[in-house]
Amino acid sequence: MLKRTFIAAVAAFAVAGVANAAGAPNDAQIAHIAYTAGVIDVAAAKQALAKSKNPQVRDFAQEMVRDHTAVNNKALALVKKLHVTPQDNPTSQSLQAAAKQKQAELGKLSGHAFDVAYANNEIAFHKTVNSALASTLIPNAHNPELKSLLQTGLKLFQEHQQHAEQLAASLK
Amino acid sequence: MRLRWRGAMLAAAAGLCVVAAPLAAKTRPGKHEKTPTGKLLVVSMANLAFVPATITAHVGDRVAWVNNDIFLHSATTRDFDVSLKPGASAGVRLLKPGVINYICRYHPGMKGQIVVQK
Repeated sequence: MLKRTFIAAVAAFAVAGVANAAGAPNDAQIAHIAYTAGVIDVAAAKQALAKSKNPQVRDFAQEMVRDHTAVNNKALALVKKLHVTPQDNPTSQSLQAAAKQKQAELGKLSGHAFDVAYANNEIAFHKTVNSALASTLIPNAHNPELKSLLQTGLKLFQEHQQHAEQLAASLK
Repeated sequence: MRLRWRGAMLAAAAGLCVVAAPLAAKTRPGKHEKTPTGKLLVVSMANLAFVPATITAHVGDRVAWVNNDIFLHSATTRDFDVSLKPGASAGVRLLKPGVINYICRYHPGMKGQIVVQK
């Protein structure tokens, strides 16, 4: 139930609610949303590294930390270069709130139950972010470099989704 | 850029072998150059893809992967595993004909193929 709520909440805000008063997010908001998604997944991975003893889960979590940190470092360098200040917005706030709730939920689990819940949440999270990137964030990005970085992010998230699906299947 | 040649034991099992000494090489994806011991074929890891995804080589040639991405990648089969940090490169030598399908074990959607001819 919580998982469905999380997915619904994130999907609602990330895909539809991302529009601002002018009807579409600006580059500063898009940068903030994408960066926030990366931060959330790194935090989830760190929780997994603290709780899981499963080597496959730990390898996956390390990959999440490594990849999302790399993208976010590039994003930070880009916004600095472009003199853009990432702008907090309701979508970012919603993502963070939903992630916090999910982290608390996962925090109550341990062992195999945690591993399965983490893998399933990674699938759901990456699906949601992929949808937001493809349908809203990338189409509305104006700066070509930001758009290019988002496209890399989408490709990365798709890879992670596939990897998470393989991980979840191996945990059955 | 200096190339590392690694995984000798595993590569040998797959009909591949590894040059012991590091070798300076030009890193032009998809291009190859003649060396005293065969051609050197370079495959780039860029934007979460192997470029080119498929190469054709001959027994005695060498394949080098160059990680031009911002992520850790690998070229992995059951028989060898070349893991490369961003900016790194390494390769294997091809010792027998056949088709080698490989993936990045960190990003399984990344797929590559080496067709090794006699």
